[in-house]
Amino acid sequence: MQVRWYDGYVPTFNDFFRLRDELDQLFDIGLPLSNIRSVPRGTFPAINCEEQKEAVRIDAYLPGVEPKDVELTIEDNSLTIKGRRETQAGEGNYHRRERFSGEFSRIVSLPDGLDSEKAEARYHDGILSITIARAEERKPKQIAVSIN
Amino acid sequence: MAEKNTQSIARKDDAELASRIKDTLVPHVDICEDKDSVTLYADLPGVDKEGLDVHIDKDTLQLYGRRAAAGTDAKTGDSYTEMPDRDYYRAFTIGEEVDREHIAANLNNGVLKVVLPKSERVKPKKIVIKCG
Repeated sequence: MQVRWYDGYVPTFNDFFRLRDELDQLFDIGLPLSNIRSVPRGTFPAINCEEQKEAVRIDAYLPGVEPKDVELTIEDNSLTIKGRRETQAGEGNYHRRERFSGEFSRIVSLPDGLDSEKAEARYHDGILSITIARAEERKPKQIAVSIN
Repeated sequence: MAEKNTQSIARKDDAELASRIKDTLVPHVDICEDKDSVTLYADLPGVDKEGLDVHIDKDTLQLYGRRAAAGTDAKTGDSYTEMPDRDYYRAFTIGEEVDREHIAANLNNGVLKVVLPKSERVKPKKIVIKCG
């Protein structure tokens, strides 16, 4: 999904920033050096990741996707989000078709020390939130200091 | 007099809107037209019914979606963000042909659908040709 954000205060300028972003995207201009597994900006679904004390949370922005059409797999420190979104609307002519339609797949690298058995996924208002708990032995522990 | 009042209301709304739409995301839309209506679909993930505001002011259709707080209190370490925590805003001008009384909007799983029906007088009509 290619939702863009802008710093411009005046809404009119949003269109100029958007044009610039779309040109960048057209030529896929990024950093001269990229990770071989990196994906271009605007890849569907957009993803936010967050490290928490007890878990890691990944939010995938999947509006209009039925949860049954999404497949989540954790393997070797990577999470795969795979599925299909149909955006067919019916008869008639399209004036705009900006929304992503079709098959999608994204792989997210996970940090070490997660317990894939303790993963939960929840779909709400078009966002799929995946929470994966840290393994017990990786959680921070307090060490009591004894006095002799 | 009525017009003046409307204008002052519009100015008040504009000031409020200007502050609301500062730093917003532009949602992606599909717009499809058939002989009866124009239908708009917008991706608004994270917006619930309470946070959605669809309104028509004269010839402008405005979509505004407030993102529900993502509840990131538990955040402690690094994060990676492709969707910043901002609201959505997008507006379109619409023509005279849209029947403003019968516009329907529906939000489901983060997708907004707005149906803008055309008024009867602008729908295509078949002209019967009489012979003789």
